[in-house]
Parts: sequence; structure tokens; C-alpha cells
Amino acid sequence: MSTPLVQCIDLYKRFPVGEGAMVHAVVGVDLEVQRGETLAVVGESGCGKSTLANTIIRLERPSAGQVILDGTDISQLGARGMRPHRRKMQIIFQDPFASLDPRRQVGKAVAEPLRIHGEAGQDVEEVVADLFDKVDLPRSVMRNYPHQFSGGQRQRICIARALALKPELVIADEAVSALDVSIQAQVINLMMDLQEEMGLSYLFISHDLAVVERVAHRVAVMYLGQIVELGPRRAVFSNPRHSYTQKLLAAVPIADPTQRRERPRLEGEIPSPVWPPGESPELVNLVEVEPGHLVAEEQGG
Amino acid sequence: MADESNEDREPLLSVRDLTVEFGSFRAVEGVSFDLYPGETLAIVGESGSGKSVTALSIMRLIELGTRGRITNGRIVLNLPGEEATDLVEEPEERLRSIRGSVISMIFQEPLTALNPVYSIGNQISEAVRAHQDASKADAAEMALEMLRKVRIPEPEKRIKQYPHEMSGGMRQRVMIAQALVLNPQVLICDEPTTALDVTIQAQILRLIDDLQQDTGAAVIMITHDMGVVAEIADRVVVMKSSRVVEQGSVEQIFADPQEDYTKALLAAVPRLGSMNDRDEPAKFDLVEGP
Repeated sequence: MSTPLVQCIDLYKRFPVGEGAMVHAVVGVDLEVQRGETLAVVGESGCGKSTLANTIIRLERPSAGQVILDGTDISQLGARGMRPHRRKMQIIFQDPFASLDPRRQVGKAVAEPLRIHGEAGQDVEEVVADLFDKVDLPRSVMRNYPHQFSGGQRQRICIARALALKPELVIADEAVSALDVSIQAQVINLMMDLQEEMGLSYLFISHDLAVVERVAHRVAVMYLGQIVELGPRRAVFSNPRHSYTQKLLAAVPIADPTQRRERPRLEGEIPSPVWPPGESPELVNLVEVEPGHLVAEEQGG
Repeated sequence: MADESNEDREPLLSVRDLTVEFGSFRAVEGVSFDLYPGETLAIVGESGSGKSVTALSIMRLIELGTRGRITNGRIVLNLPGEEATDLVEEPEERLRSIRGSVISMIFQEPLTALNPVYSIGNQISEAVRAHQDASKADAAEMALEMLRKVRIPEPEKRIKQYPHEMSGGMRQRVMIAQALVLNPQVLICDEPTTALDVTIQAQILRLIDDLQQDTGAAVIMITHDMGVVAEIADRVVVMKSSRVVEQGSVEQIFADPQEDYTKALLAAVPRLGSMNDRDEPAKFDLVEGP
């Protein structure tokens, strides 16, 4: 395999929550995103998947470990040092309305990254118009404001803005989760077209396993800040080896009434990621069970 | 699961030509469907299709909680052994005795549906005492029993706690306990698992199903999730732009949808397991909607 676009090495992120206790949000994560691939990170609320994304894109500074972007360790760079690297990574969030300034024309919003990075030349309008073409929005709406758009259109605007600087990595943090299913499918198709066209890599953060099955080349399953299973999407979905992955997959409702099944009765909730002072979670040990398919060893086999 | 042969049974609830207006906007237009005893009827549709307004209309909460008005139609409640009544015509006083005891509702966000300043036990026993002549001790005992039924761990301890001390899944259990404590014949669930993680969602759906088996209540499940529909519904009503597009048995809707909109909706639904035979990601094969 060629050198990965992004590599996390033994990455940690902890947050203090008072009296010395810590949320161990990301715990010893090793991960690679290859060029042109979609790596999905799945898990339930609080498992650390969004913190992992934010730490990779340096919205958070890691507590320990490294993030290697295109051969450079960016984990400890300051604001100035980060700047040339920021353009290579962009993020799209769940709520496109919260990510757009309500008083700014959407065309200006899409142009903003270009201005910040000093690339808003004479032809900026043309560049923005091209971006609107790319995400299948008519150029005529560039002067409109966010409230004049539907949720799906707003997410297209956020995608256009994310693509303005021709990034290599786009992090989609639950980017299609709030959309109606027909709109969600359209936006996913758009993202896949753009990946092919521009050679983008996606880090696709999602709780929705049915969507992930559709879009991902590889999948990482996170539980309490650690990756418990990682591998090619087909291997993880058709041959899940970790009990947590199995439990997650068994819980997904299947949109086919002929496949209705008696499901294992699940009980209980995920334990807290908060640890008292001086204590920390035990690290899992990942074992390769087939090529590229890693599974955390579980106690009692 | 409910008996398939509905022809010879009396519906428990019949909605006919229901129209609800918010000013000049018709949020629900000419909606008709029946709900039979013991069955699960799913009302599906995308945001703004009118499914929640339909649910609130059945509870007659439209005029109380929103600026909407029921401008046409009937909502006939046909309890066994009682005379049929049109809920649209009933006075608020009578509706109050129906809500919570005959027809109950649970919502997506339990934190806004539960009162933050009352303990869990208080809220459930309050529902009991609003409808029944029960002593405080008896109502508290019923609340505790209900917390056991919805499988809340350590119910004796939890009954004294407040909503903010519980997780989303636990709060949803409390809301279900509150909704079911008086054994309603109809339970309306408006996106009850949408905000929950998938493993908790599975627990809650299972719980609703178990309680339904137990009490024989009919369930109206409002959802946008075709996966949830496929798992739990006996019959399905598909809504779009304030109207019913299509209705039928869950098998028919999924296997043989008649309307273009239903076909387009189903084509956009990711189905777990559909990718078992391929390595690469695949785009959705979208059908042009009407």
C-alpha cells in the first residue's frame, strides 16, 4: 500500500471533568486513511468518534500521540504552523444550518475559505460558481441566504464550501444523519461522485450502519474511545468478530419485513468513559484475523 | 402480531377526511385510516409530511398546543361495549379523561416531555391520580410496578430520581411507563427512538412490543425510519405533503408499492445486508420521485 494520507499513531484525547476525573474520549487509536478511500468510524453516542475526528483535524489538540498528514506530524503545531495544512482537511457537520452564517449570502460563505487562504482573486465568483455546479445547485441561488434553502440544499452548500480549497481529506461528521432519507441518498450519491472526480478521502463518522455499509471501503468500530474492530467493510459487516460489533449489527432494523427476526434481547447501557484521578481504561489488543481485519481480543475468548 | 383479516373486525379508531390547518396552510388534508385492536400501524413520511400533526390531532392537542385547527373530518373512537364517539366533537373535559387513560402518547424527546422538577415516581403517580381515585400510596405502588415492567434497573432507587439524572434511553422508558400505567387501548408513539442509539432503540422497540402483547393495546408508530416500519408494523400509512399517498399491509408496501412516491422512498432506504456480495461502495439507485 502507498503511504497513507492520514495516519494516527497511538492517539489520545482526554478532557478534565473536575476533581481530577477525566473523560477518556480517544484512547490509543492507531488508524490510517488511504488516498481516495472512505474510512467509516462507527459507534454509539459518547464512544469518541467525533472527538477522534476533531483531534485529527486539529479542532482539538491531542493529549498524546501523533497525527501524520501527508508525511508531516501536525499533532503539536501551533495556529500558524497548522495553516498550510488546514487546507488539506475540511469537515462537514450534522447541522448545516448551524454551520452557515444566517446573514451571509451562501455564495460568500462558499468563497470564505478562499479569502482566508488568500486565493480569492479576480475570478473568485467563477470559482464559486463552479463549486455550485459541482454540488448540483443552480448558480442563480448564490446570492440567497441560508434560510431560503432546504436542509439537503444547505448541506450541499456546506460541501461546496468544504471543497473550495481542493482538500484531500473531507471529514463528514454525521453529515447526512439529519436529512430525510431521499435527500440523504442524493447527498451520499453526490459525495461518491465527488470522491471519484477529485480523488477525495472521506473520514465518515456515523452511527448509521446501513448508510456506512453503502459508502465505506473500510470500517472502524469504536467503543469507549478505543477501536475494537477495523477492516474492509465487507469483512466487518459479513463476518463481525468482536462481540460489540455483533451487538451493534444485530440491533439495526432491517428495511425488509420478510427478514423480521427474533433478535437477541439486549440489556444495559454503555459504561461511562469518565475515570477517577489516576485511573485509566485498560488498552485492548488488536489481532489480525484475516488480511487487514483487526479485532480486539476479548476476555474469556 | 395482529390478525390479518381486518374486514370482519370493528376498528378501534377511524380517522375520516381529517384536515388540519395552520392559518392558510393545510398541514393535514383529507386523511383517512383505521386502527384495529392490538395492531401496530406505522405512519411514515418525511419531515413536514403531516404525520406528527395527525398524531396530535388524534390526541386533540392541536388546538391546545399549537395554532392549528381541525377544520374538517372525524376521529371516531369505538371502544368495545361503549357508544362510538367523534373526538373532534367532544368537549375538552371529556377529552381530558380520554388522554392518558384511553389514548396515550410518547414523544421523541423525553427530556421535554417530562417535568424536570418532579421525581420520576411523582410524574407517573400523578398520571394515575389524575384519572383514578387512588391513594398516594397505591399510585406510588403502581408507578413502581410500571418501572419494573419497563425494565428500569433498581426501580426503588430510580423512582426517587429526577429526569436529568437519567440517560436518554432510561428517560424514554420512564415516558413509556407513564403512558402505559393506565392500560390505554391506543398508544401513539411519535418517533420514540429517533434520538436514541441503535442498541437502545432495539431495546425500546422490543419493550413496546412486549407491553403491547401484554396489554393488547393498539399502537400508532409515527416514524421516518423504514427499517423500524419493517420491523414492527402490521400495516403502513405513507404520507407526503399533508396527504395519504398509499396504505396497506407492511408486506404489500415493501414488496409491491403502488405509488411512485412510495417506490422512490423505498429506493432511497439503505438496507443492511444488501452489500454482502460486493467489496466496493455503491451509489443508491434512485427512482425519480413524482
